[in-house]
Amino acid sequence: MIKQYLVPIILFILCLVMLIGSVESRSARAAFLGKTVFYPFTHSIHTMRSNKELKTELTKLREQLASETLKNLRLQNELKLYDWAATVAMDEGLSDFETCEVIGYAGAFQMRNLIVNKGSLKGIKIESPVVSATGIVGKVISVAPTHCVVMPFSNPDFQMPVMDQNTSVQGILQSDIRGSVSMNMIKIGSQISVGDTIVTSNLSQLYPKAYPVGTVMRIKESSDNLFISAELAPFTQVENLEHVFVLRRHK
Amino acid sequence: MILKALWSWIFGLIFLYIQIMLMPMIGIADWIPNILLPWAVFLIWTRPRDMALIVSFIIMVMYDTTQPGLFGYSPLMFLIIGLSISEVRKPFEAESKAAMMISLVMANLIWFLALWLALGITNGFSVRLATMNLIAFIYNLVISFIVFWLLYYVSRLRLVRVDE
Repeated sequence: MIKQYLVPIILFILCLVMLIGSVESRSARAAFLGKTVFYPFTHSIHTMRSNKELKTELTKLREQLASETLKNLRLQNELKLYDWAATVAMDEGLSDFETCEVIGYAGAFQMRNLIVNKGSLKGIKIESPVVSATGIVGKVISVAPTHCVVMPFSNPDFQMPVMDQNTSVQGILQSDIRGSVSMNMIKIGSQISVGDTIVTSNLSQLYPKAYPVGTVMRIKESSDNLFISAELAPFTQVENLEHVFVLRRHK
Repeated sequence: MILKALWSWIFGLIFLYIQIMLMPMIGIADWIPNILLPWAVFLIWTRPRDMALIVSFIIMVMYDTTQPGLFGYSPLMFLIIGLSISEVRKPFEAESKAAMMISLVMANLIWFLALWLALGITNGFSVRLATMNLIAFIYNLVISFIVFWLLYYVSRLRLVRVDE
């Protein structure tokens, strides 16, 4: 009988030896076994637990980093928007405008129009002038309640009167199918030279006077020898625009 | 014999790691299911009694080194459970599924009764303790059934190679 239960009796006694005593003494016995006989086991468990904790911490830090990056990006965008808006607002006569984001393009490459995220619900109308912080962009050609289509000056269908900022020499802003922007119909003998700044004309029914357009890069005579034309480097790169300002108050 | 014991110990070690590292993920209401219970029941059913008791004793001592406050409690409980099951299964057939189920329920019952008594004596008996213990018992029983039958059927899988 005793022989049959010898192993359970020994194990029972061992269990009692382990259990007897205060919590401190039990902990000391467990720590002793953990540091000696079961060292590989306790060490591996400890390593895995610390690994797990580190992974959790890493995930938290990554989340925090992503959140801070997004916050930083948002602040940068707000700052950019604020700078642009301040630039436009400082211009004479442009007290009311709507800041819009470019959300798409329509049309073939050089005939491309911009689609922006605000429309008639925000008071935008057809023929509203559109500018950026650096110069003119184009005009609104179609309006829906929540978005509108802007024809940029780089579209060959776009035309508007412009003038030399220094000499007030008048001309017509046009683009060709290759994307080259020119000031055409300049009378031969007019005082215009390379490097001059071209601005919107006082003759424009659409734009406020003297809004920047670009600088003169090259001057050439037209084929009929009646006019000269100036090739321009526009201040605004239409293809790189993020935000534009649609002016509500016409000149 | 020694090889069988060694395999049982390695198998138990795998269960021990799963218990410590993975089971906390499926715990409910501060209760972590104990998959060492179905493993111990399986061990009692498939190995000679003394071998099963020794292997489960070593594994539970290892388990208790990770919770030193109750060092010795788990090996003692598993010893009682192992002895009870080995006595209960005697009148049944070696492959009796009903007896296996009864063993599982019994193992869980002993474990949770002891836990209820231990917690009740230290913190006072209350309705909340009894309810929580009952929920934990049911949850552990479900997990025990799943683990036990998985073990049972996986242990019966045989790889057969046929040469034609």
